[in-house]
Amino acid sequence: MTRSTLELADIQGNILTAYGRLGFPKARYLLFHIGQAAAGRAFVDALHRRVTTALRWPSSRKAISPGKNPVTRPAVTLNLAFTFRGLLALGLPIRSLRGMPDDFIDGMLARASILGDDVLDNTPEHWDPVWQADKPSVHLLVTLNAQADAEGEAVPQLAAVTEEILALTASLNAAAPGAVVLLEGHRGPSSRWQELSALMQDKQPTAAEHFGFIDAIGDPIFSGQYPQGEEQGLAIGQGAVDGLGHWRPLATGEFLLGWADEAQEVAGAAMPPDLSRNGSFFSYRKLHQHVDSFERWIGQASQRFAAAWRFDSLADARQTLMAKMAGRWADGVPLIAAPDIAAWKAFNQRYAPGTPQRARALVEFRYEGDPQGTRCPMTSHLRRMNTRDALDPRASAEPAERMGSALNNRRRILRRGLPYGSRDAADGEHGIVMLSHCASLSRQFEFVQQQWLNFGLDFNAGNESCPLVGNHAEGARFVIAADPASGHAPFIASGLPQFVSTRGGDYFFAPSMTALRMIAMGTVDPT
Amino acid sequence: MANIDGGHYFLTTLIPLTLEPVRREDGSFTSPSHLLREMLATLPTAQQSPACVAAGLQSPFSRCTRTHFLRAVVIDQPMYNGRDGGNALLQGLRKVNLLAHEPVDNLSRPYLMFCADFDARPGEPDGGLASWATGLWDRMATELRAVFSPCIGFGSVRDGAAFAAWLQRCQIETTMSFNDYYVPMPDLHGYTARQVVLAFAAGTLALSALAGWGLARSGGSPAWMLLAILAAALLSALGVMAMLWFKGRRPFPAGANTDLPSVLKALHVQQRFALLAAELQGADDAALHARFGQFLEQVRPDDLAGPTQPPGVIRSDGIGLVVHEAVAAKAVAI
Repeated sequence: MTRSTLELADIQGNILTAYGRLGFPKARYLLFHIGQAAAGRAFVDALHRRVTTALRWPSSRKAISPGKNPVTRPAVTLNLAFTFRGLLALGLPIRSLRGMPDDFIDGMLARASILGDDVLDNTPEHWDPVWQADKPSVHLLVTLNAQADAEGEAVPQLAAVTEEILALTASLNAAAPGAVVLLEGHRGPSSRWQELSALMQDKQPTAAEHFGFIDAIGDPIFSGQYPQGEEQGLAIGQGAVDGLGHWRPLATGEFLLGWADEAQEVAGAAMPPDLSRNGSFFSYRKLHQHVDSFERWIGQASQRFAAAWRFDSLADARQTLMAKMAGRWADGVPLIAAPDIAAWKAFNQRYAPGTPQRARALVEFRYEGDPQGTRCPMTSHLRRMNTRDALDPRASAEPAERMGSALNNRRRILRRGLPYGSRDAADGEHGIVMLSHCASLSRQFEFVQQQWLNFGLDFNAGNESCPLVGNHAEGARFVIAADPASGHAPFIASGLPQFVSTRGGDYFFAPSMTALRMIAMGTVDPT
Repeated sequence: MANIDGGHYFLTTLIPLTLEPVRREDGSFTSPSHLLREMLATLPTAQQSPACVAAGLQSPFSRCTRTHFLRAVVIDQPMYNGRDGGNALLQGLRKVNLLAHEPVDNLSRPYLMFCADFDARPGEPDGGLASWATGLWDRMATELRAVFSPCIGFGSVRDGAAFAAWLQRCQIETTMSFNDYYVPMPDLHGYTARQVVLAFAAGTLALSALAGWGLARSGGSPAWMLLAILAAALLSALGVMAMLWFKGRRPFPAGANTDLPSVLKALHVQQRFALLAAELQGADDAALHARFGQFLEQVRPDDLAGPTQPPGVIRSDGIGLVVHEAVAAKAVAI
């Protein structure tokens, strides 16, 4: 595959980089409604030069030279994204708009039955008011990611940038009332915006989420995302794999529009090409985590599991149960590499924290040696989200004839976002805001959500859903396969309550810098 | 492949519609194809959600325990793919007038494509089509009358036998079927390329030898001999092709437990057994034995007539269906 050479200064930086994990653990997401197209364009015009692009900051550690015009690492990153209605409100030509994909035009509410947002407590009456159908439409999303200070709080610049944006809307609204309106109605510390933060420990950010797992270890690697030397190494365990175990970066077009994708084509997109090229779609999902129910259920199920598999301690049963649900131990060690407590401990002795060897061992694995899921259950979260080589239709052929991750390569998503709230919050306001970037929301994000998380047929598990984030209607169960040699029977965990529920969101388009400039100038010309 | 494969009958019919406008009971007029579409659109679906269950209606096809799948589609016209393509240079040389329209294929009337996958009956002369159609008539004549009334020839259908005969008149051969339950795959043996070449060579040789013997007796010339060898090769090639054709047409044998009652029973046993397995985790041998005995008594896995999943529902383990709520989309106003 030809390596893509990306013009990094044309691409919004939050697509290529998960800021939340990489030095910007505090975030604030603001939503706007545009009441007047010209004022909206002026707003975009004023903000678009502040947008943080994918240009790399000089780094001695990563040998990224400053070059002639070094960019400085900002205290706060700023990125922009639009809903379809937002693009319509900004006055884009209909001919451009009709080239947008129907999933994006629909928006997340209209896709409720696909996403499982029409059942249980996912339904919109449970959503934050700002996302509800009877409120003014969300048009524009401004995402701010901030560095943390020594106290583990957001640097003061976050408040300053927020004030600056609000002052800008105030001046636009003074000229034309209601021109650019900050939408309120988020739950949490401020109803004016969504506050997010990595979970902190000793004033330092961690990669944990509220259930206690280390999150976001694997993420797709695509061609052009990293400097050439770095990219091939990172693709191991995170890119595409063939039957022989050779890894490569995924095609750029799976995540950025206007580039060849894994079907070896440049998919059609909204015209003109400059409007779409280097842009990306993403779904914004505010996901509440039922921490109490999770703790309660895990506690009860661990006791049954301990009795069934005769664990040394209840703690071991609990850790194993959680690992079997997630596909990784709480510290991120994959079950494929370490299927039981002893192997887990051995893995941690072998690979010291923070070493490149450990980073690679956390992601470099395939499912070919575990077709029955006795190491990592077929229906675990990890095996559903990223099926790697598990669905290889030629799995039983000679290695050179196998298809590896071919069926998975078109279903990958870049996971961005951060947790919100505190695990102990009395109001139960805690979860994560998940941003899933991809070139096609229906082919990638929605497919994974509908077919792999909320259904089990591809894993020979009928209608069983993901034990962690899937919908758990009456009768939900999770089966842990057992190696017959172990002498244990498969463990069937029944009666799973809902652990993760939707609390709002929408579909967004993150345009390139070129497209942002055209939108701001009102010169999007599809002819 | 043929109409019957793997123990299932794959019926394909193309049924012509009348063209005369229809006067409804309320005095309004409509086209036969629209009437048919309206009827199909208002047939109740199976009970696949709490909303369907609450409506109290059930798909009429669920009254028949032989029908696996059924599909009805109105075909108005074949798709026109545009002018036949060609090499522009050649067309220029041949002075093809691109402005002269090529003929466009049209159907004289809309057709109903009515397809079904049902359990075949090897003992019956037609493989089970007539008994299936008669059975359907016995169970849902009212709905069948409503659906097929705009179809040519249906007006004279008065009973099940006439319905079966009428359906058969509209039947076309199914040349490719899809059998969802065919597990495990039978041990199939095709011919290898080597076997095909050998059969061709052997046939050619045998026929040539025969011709040579005949020519030698009648004193034929070498030119005649050459011609005879060529004819032998041709005949042999035709023979090999016929052999492949007949082999390819031979249906798969019936799969094990792939008739509808067995499939429904299997679904029922599977669901009940999953609950039993969860319930008995950690149970001691005595409890296991006693409870499994109880399970066999209650579920009767071998008894197709015993407790089973009725047709037209999606689960039979006593667990309620998840309620899907109507989610209102944003208003169209921006």
